[in-house]
Amino acid sequence: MGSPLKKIMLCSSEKEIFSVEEQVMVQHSVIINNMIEDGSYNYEESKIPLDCVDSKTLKKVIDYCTYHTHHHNDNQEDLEAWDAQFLNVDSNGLYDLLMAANYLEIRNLLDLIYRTIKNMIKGKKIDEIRRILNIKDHGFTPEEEEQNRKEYPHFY
Amino acid sequence: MATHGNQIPKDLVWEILAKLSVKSLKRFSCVHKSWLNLLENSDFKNIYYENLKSKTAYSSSLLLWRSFHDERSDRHVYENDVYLLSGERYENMVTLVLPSLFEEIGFDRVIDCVNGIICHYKKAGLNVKIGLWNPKTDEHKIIPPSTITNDPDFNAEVEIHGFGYDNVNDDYKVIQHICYCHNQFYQYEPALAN
Repeated sequence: MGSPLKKIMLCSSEKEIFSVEEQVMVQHSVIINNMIEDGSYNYEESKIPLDCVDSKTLKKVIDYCTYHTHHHNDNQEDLEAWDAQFLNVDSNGLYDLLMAANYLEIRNLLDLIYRTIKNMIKGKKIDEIRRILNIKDHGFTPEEEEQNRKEYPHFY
Repeated sequence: MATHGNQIPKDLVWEILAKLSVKSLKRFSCVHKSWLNLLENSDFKNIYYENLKSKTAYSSSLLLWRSFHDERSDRHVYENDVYLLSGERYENMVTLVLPSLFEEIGFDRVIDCVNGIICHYKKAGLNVKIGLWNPKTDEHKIIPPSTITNDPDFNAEVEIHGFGYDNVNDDYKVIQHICYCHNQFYQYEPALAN
């Protein structure tokens, strides 16, 4: 754990540099925590390249980590309201955030996104679930698909 | 996620599916062929139970088994009920109707509930049937009977001792305990002959 005033540099896929309080990222991202702990980050010259995270997504991820670092004592309801507002993004935005949270191993953000997607697909018809999750090849043969539709018409 | 043309990687989709109820997993098995029998996949099951454990830390439920047997009157009163209690103060009560194991009269017992699966059995003499029931999906399986050697010199008594999850073999196990007592122990002293 570094001192709270130290800053680290994160570099998005567009090579844009973001300077963030070290503590904020260390507390949330397993990957960045490991980098700082094993000394592979050099404060003078290193920037952490995040080639698969674009600037827009990285900014959101930093917002999330910053807010949760400074508001972790807020009551649960307020935090949940903030989270809901935070994830009020289109499906591309949600996908990008999911991939970024997974890459940086930000457990609480990942869990939040999983739960959000779960609520999007819960109780939906199968065609709708496939559309939301962008499943084009469901792997069933036409006969099997026909059989499923016959057996469970209420799912479709 | 639709317009990007990108599909969420499999391991992340599993994390999402693992947050669904057991009941809705049936529906999801029709979404993608690889999601058939998800609960038989040990990797998925691990994620699922981890989730379940963290969830039940907040909202636990109790299984209440009430067995009531009154022999005082001529008409034997025999009641056997299973209730699921949930809620902050366990104020929600649902009566679970156990699937029947066989029609004959005998004792119905609930052994335990593990990962949402209730193990119950019924016995009439040496005829013992053990069932595993998942109330959420209403799937019921009867365990194949184990062999009980019947020796005319011994009285055999079967007790179902316990039910649990074996994480080494990723399977459920029922422990059955059979007690053999020599007939002689049960014989009364012969009455004195005149």
